[in-house]
Amino acid sequence: MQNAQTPKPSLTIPVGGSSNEYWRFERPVWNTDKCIRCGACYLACPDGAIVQTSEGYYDADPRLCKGCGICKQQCWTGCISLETCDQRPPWVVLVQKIIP
Amino acid sequence: MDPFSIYVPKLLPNDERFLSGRRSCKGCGKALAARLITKAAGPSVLRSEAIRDRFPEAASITAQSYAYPDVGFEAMIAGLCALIHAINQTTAQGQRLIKKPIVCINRQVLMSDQLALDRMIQARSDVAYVCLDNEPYVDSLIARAAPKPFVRAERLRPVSESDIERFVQEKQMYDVLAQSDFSYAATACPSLPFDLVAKVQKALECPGKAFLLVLTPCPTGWAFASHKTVTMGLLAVQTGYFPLYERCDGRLTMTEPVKRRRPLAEYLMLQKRFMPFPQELVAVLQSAVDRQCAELLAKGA
Repeated sequence: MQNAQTPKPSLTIPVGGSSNEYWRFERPVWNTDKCIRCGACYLACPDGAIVQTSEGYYDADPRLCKGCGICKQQCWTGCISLETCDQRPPWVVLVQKIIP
Repeated sequence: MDPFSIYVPKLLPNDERFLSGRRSCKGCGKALAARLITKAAGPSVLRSEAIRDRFPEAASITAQSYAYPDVGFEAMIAGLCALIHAINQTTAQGQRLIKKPIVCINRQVLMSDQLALDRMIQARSDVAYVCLDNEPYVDSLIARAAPKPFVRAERLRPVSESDIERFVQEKQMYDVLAQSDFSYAATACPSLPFDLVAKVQKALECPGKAFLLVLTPCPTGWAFASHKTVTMGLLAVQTGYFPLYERCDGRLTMTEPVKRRRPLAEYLMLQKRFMPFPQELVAVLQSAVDRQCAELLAKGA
């Protein structure tokens, strides 16, 4: 018998507003040693996810980035690399627990 | 990209007026075009609280700033123009608070509703129309051109050379725009962002109606990797498939003349939707594109 104190798994799907974090399989990472702060990545981002930091470098907003990779394609200096993102949505984790 | 345009992105306004979300796929060319257009258009007057207090309907327009799912095309334009006229009436004489509204429509609207373009041409309101073209109509051409299975009945009419020539001719909309009274008409692509921004600003500044046809590569529909969106638009321009021109006061100018055009097969090969397209028709498409580029260059010279 299940303990009454055990929290039940939530069945509601966390939509998370306009967050796109579960869309992406890869996320862009900037190498600030190579970056010349030209802003070509910022211009080509379809989602407006790239923001400028206080030091003038660029970074991707994790809520908006969909991991399309256009920023890496457009980067002149090759300072952007795509890291694999193994972040899975909670409902996928839940389904994988039920059906291993 | 032009090497001199490095650091130029900083000349554009930093604030984002495009609401990102789940409306677009990753690498969407249409979203990129909409974002650049909103940047070029400048801040919206309708967002100010003083206008919203006086005109409550302005809030409903800005709330759905780029989505009108249930509103008819004609009703939307009429309502928008009436609202802008009312707002401009409140300001001092000779000063127009809102120069011109920009209305972005899908090319599919013009393809499915034959009267929509006629209404746009005949309307007297000063509106800058931006037609976002991600070529959904090409799918039917490819489906007709693809080799049929052995047992399948020939229900579709096979594609002939004249069909492809008509497709290339109609795609640019040059003949339609040349006969209409648009004071400014141009084609643009978000892969050349500063060209697009300059054309949107010109469309807003010129008096009268303006029309902008924007090619927006679609990774999902065209079946290519999402990081190649900008490359695909550049290839469309460099192969002559989508030549960039502007027509201002009856005068045609090629804004991005390509001296050495790349073969069209390079552009088609990157898209998996063209996989069943027969090779013999690629040559026909190439010759149609060549002829059209030559015509446009002759007119623009």
